[in-house]
Amino acid sequence: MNRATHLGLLSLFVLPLVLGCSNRGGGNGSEPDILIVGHEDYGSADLSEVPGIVGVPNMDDDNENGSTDWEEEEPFEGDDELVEFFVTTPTGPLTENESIRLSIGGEAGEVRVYDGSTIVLGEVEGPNLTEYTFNAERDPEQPFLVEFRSSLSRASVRATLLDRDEEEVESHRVPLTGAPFLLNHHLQQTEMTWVVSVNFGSSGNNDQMVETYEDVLGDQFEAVYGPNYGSDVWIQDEFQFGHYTAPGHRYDLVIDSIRDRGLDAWAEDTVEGDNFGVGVWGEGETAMSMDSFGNLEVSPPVTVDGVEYPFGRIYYGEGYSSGRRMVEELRDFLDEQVVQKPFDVDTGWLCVGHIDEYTTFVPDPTAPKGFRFVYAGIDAAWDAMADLDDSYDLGMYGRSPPYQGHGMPTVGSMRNNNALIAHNEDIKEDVLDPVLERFKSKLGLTEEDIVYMPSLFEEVTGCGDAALIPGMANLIVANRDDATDIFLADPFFRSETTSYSGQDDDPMIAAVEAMMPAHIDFHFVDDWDVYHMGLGEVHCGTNMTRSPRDNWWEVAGHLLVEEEE
Amino acid sequence: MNIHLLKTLLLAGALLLPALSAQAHHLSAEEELILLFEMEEGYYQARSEAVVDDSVTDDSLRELALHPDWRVRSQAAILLSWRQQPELSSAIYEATSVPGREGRIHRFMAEAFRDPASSPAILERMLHAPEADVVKAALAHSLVGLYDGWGEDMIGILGAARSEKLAVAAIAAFRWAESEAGLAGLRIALDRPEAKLRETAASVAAWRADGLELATELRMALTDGDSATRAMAARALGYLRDLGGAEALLPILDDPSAEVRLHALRSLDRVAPELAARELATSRLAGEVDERVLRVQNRIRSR
Repeated sequence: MNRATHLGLLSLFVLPLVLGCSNRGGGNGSEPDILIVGHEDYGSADLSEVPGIVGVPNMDDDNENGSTDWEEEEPFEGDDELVEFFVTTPTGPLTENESIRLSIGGEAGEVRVYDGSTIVLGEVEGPNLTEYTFNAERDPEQPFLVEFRSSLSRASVRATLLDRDEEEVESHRVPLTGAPFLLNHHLQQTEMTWVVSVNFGSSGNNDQMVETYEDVLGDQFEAVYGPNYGSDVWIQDEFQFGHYTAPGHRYDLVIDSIRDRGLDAWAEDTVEGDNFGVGVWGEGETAMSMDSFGNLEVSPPVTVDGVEYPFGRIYYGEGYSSGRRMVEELRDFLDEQVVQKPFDVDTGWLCVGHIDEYTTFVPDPTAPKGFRFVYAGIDAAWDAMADLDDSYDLGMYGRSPPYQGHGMPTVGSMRNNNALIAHNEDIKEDVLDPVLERFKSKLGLTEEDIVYMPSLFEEVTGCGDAALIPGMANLIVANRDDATDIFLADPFFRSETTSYSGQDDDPMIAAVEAMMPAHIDFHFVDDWDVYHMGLGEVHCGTNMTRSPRDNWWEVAGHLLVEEEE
Repeated sequence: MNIHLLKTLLLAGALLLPALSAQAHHLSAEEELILLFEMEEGYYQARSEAVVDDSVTDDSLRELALHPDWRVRSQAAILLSWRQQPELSSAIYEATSVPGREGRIHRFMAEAFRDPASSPAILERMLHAPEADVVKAALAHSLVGLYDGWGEDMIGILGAARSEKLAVAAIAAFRWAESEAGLAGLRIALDRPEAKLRETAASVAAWRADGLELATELRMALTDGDSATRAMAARALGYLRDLGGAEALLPILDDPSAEVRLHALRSLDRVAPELAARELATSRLAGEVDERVLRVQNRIRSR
């Protein structure tokens, strides 16, 4: 029942109130005697079931007084995270002999219920308020307001109709659930995109990459002026965008990594504001590469062993053998969100150690699941160069290692390199094959869902492995209406050393386009000097906000376990 | 080194008592340069004085810059560089390293680092400036391919390195050095007392096209007391297809270290697949618990 219907019912019951009688059925009639109803945006959702009434955590600062709104002593005009609900009596308005008792269950300290500006249930200074009784004198058209402290705050409110002897006639219980924090995945619509622009003179720049983003995305792209942020180009690593949603509410939050390099202040400078917060989990002193957010990704919606994950599953890399791990506070926080049930995979073999170095997802409406899982394919790389002569010129690869190129001037210098062949065989056997099985298991993937991006890895002495062919799995997807644009590294598998020419004849580009969904527009951008030789690629150097998709309270309730009252 | 202080010292050099002049009566020019090169405390003041010391001519420094002793020729080149192109040398000192994505590996993007003439200043900053190890490593790798003979200088850097990180960076650079210097550098590194340096050298040797020249040293490294060195040596012999080294791998197939067992079995399979299969049939390799080794065993058995 929505709010409008409820108010209509209220007026119908004026007459019975005047006559001093009611039609209570004690719960045996066709209509309930008491009902908690919520915002009209809940539609036909049964509020008795988890998640019930939902709201975004009141962690912003709407009145801009320097403290979060949860810390305020009473509601104020403009605090837009408070959620209305009504207690109705469909079989007739309250008589003067009746009353209604509201009681709270679950984590009472995680929510507050207001009657007007007075807290009547939940967290207050001192013991939590657990019961509140009112009678017919209370205006039934005045909503109660509920406020949530944090994500997945879990409580419930029960409204009990009491007769003249304060005996229970009937009650209705509704769960109260704070919104989970949801991270974005590659099937969501793009809102805004950022890349840090830098120019190191003859040592390189990312002008062509920035120009391409500007041309394709227009006003949905903004270049961040690098010198303002220490030329820290790894904007994917410093921030992870996500959001909380509830009916009529959206609150964006950016997780600010504890890596705290040049870009650390960018989120506060640029996106923080009304309904856009910044949060940090963990301490910078413990930061390591695993705490960067190229190492924190989300699958599209999947069904695994019969369980639907409508917002996908979070996955991140861990150094199984090296002990490198994402900071515990953040791992715990992500686990607590439940809806995108996280899992880890091995990235400790990589020098940088980020999961985006060898995996990603792209939309594909023709695919059984609506997407393809893109995975580093070593055989795909050798296959892509199979028809090339040993003398085939690889302009960029022949440049001087370790900062300009790889010292491999021709296809022959790769294909006849025993160490390179053996090393990639080892990576496939030790890591890629077992990790792929883990992805299949954790995401319910089959071979049909997977495309193998041509990839070869090279050892960075004393550190681990990194992409030899610019990592094209390290891509970013921009969805705008039905259009999908993908930005990924120019593999430079040709003699030309600029992305402005030669791409049409690049066999590695041809191989990628042949295996990927036809509807996608690919943009192979020059990331060689600035990113590739710095052990990252296009996804590492890009970040994006995306529009929420689907209402979690409608499609993810099955993932939330009911709390005991 | 604060560049402003450096400039001050340069300007004030004529007023300072040259530190080396007192000894000049007793030392040859080569010995003076070695003394300066090996100075730690007070280096910059002494170098600044030497730069303005007109008793040492540019011509003599040019001659000394070709000296067979790496220390002499490096220090002569450094002095010449400060005399003839102080702006370029200053640019090297003023440049800030840029962290790569991982953070522990830095590189220099300033244009001055592409100029071969900057190599003396890079070398000086690397050896004398109070830089973090990651910066020193980036400076060392900035020399790779920058000028002819950089590989020989890297041998000198390995010898002069006062931090393990810099020594590891020098050894890593031998992967790309010309044959003579690359192999010589790795031989020296494989003989170093520090386990990390031996491990790095064994790891790097695998990637050299002429790495088989080091087969003898790598086979010896299979008995190294350090398991990481044994593992990397075993791996190298497989990557390099050391067909004559199969027998040397047999004793470490049941090494206490899983990493060693993994690489030993893989390399044996690469150089003598039939022998690997026969060894797997013996009881001594039963009871393997490491997942990776078991995968390799299963692959070989299923062939």
